[in-house]
Amino acid sequence: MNPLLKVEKLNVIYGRGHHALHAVKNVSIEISSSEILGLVGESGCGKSSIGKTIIRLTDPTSGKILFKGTDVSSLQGKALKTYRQEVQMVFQDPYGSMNPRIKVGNAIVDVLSVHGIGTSKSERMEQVVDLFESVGMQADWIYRYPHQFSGGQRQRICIARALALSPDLLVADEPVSALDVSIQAEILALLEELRSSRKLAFLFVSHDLAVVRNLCDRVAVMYNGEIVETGSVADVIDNPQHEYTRKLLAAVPSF
Amino acid sequence: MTNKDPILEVRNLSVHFGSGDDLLKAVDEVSFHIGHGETVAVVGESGSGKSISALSLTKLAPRAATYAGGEILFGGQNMLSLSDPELRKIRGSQISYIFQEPMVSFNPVFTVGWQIEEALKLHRKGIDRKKEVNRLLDLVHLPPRLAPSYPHQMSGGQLQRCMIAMALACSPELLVADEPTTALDVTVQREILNLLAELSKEVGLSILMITHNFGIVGDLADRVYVMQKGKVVEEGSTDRILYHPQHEYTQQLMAAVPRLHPPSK
Amino acid sequence: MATKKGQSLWGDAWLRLKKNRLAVFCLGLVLFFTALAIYGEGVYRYHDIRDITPAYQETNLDLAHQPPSADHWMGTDGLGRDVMARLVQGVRIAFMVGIITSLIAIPIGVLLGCLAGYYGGRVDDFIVWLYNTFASMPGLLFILAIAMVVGKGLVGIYLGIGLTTWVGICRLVRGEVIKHKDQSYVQAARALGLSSGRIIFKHILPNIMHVIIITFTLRFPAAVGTEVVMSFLGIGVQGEPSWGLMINSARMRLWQGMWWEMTFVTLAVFLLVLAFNLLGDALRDALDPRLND
Repeated sequence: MNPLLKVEKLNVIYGRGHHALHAVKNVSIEISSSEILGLVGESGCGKSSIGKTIIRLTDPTSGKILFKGTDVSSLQGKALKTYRQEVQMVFQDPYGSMNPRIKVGNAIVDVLSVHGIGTSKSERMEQVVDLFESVGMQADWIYRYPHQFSGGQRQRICIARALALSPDLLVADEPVSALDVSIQAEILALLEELRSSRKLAFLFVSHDLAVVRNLCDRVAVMYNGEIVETGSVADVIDNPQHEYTRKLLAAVPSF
Repeated sequence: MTNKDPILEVRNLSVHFGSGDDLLKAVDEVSFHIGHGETVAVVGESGSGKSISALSLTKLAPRAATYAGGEILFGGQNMLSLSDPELRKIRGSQISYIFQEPMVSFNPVFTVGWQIEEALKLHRKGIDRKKEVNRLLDLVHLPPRLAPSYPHQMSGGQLQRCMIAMALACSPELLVADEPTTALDVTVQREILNLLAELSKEVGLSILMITHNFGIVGDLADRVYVMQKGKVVEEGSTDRILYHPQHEYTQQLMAAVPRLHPPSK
Repeated sequence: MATKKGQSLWGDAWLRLKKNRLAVFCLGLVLFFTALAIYGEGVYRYHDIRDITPAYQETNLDLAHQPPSADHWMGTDGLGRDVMARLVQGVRIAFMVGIITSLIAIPIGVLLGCLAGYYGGRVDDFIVWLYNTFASMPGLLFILAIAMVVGKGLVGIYLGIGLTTWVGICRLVRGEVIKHKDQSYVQAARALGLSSGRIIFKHILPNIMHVIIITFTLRFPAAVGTEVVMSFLGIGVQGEPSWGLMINSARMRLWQGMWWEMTFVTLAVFLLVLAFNLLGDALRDALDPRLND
């Protein structure tokens, strides 16, 4: 089976010379369509850099990013814009990624019109209402401002915005780590539902092994820029092979 | 391990913000107590009032708060009726705090050694402070050579250890830890939790742990209070709360916690 | 992790400053000017006590308008006085204006700014009202009014400039304190049992010291500039040679080709301002332990 996304020997180096930081070292991962891959590790291990490189917010230093078989690692201009319709991102801090002075519905309408989807404003508004309902929000909330929502609702709006362009892959960078546990459970359920209803694939970047265990199909464990272990979540968590994975698992407080 | 005689007892504490239509009962008639050498956890989601309750123990809640009722009994006095100078003598010497983000809880322009010394200067006169700083660093398993470092030169875990050293500087009876590991990586969190458990055992420190993480509760606490919207909805021994929650809200919370090893699915 | 020898805030700042060559050069320049000012003060006092006319005041019309030579390195002015000697006396006046006005303005501004920022509420309302009132008066008019009350001369300049320029510092310090008082380290300090005064002056103030130092280095030359204007208007320095008076008189004869007085005085002003600004910049960096590691 052909994977949706295939990353080969990816390297990301920030800066140069004496201050160069080798954030991602020879990383190779694959994600099939409607698969959820968890990427776990501690702060500074390079997991966020991988996510940002895949959606091309950061340029790779070397290596290939094959999306549906084409290398997207050096796309520019129009081709990059088209690629970004198919791969979207959701961030940890939903409030920080929204413009506080624009009504949430209009923000999504803007995304649609920038990418030339829909012909009129009313048609786009209808699409936004559909999106809102698909993430479990009320249709008339599109006229509200970001500060009028709770953290969990804002994350739903960000997910709706990411879905506006009907992507095939969603990169989610710690999307639930700022949320309370009950809200976190709801957002995770929403992601799970979107995966089956939209055949959406996820790269789920997280530091929380328990969340990854409950959501993901496969997991890649990162340490110091490298992937030290990959496998199905059950294999990796119940039967860790690498020493670092064991240390990480032993540290999780549980009962 | 636990003594029946509580060192701190909170009775029907109410802390309000605003007034009239905007009245927010952040803490609403909350009662709890902590015994000698006991580790007690207060768990809840954001906005449950757990942090405000902890800060109120020495009247450290934000200025906008009003202490609307109840009493906080510590060392035979009601903390709510004490004056500011009296409270300052208790803060840091008998009741110490450690906070969520060690990276910003230190003054960036002074070395950590200087800041630990400051705590000593304030509450303990006539001791060899340099020696005492070294002893405290040793207590939290940090080499004394780190004393002349600035906060930005240390890692989050090292800083949280320094924070604990500073909190222990005056041998307090109660340590209030407000989400002490939330900002830390899981392996570092493990080290800090182990350190707290060790201190509670060896020094006989009483700990009030504020957290949203049930894993930490299970690891560390003897007893648990569950808070929701300013009220304590359930209290009991850690095992009872975690494995046989009675209140509907506690049950919901427990169901939402993602498990590393799901019982069965 | 770096664990170099740390000592006091200022000790570390000095170690960091020493590594910056340009800063050391500027510090040297400032110290050189300071020495000149002290020398100038000595010369002034010496002649004042003996009641004799100092060389820089002695007029000799035969020697008027002489270009730089071995006898007069910077030439002479329209009354035959040595420009270099007068320039040195000018340093004395400039330093007195710069330092004394700062000694008036900075403590007022810092104290009120700290109180307003930390306590907020009514204290803040009152202090903000106060500085808005001061700020709404045209500065030069206010200085003129003060000069009229206390009389012409240096005291009027000191009070006039000192009492009008605290507003800017106060506003800056207030803003910085508001920013810092909500930071966790302030809460941690309160939890440790520190008093408000100690938190403001021992914990917050060192964190905003760079603002005060930068303000000092910027307002020092600004005060010198104001002195120039006031001396030009005839309500400033009386009798003694200040840079303001010198520039004013040199201005008239510049088009006659007598370039030396104007050149050397402006060069002195330029060097003093530059040295102060660069030093202020370097000090700010040196006082922040997070930089230059």
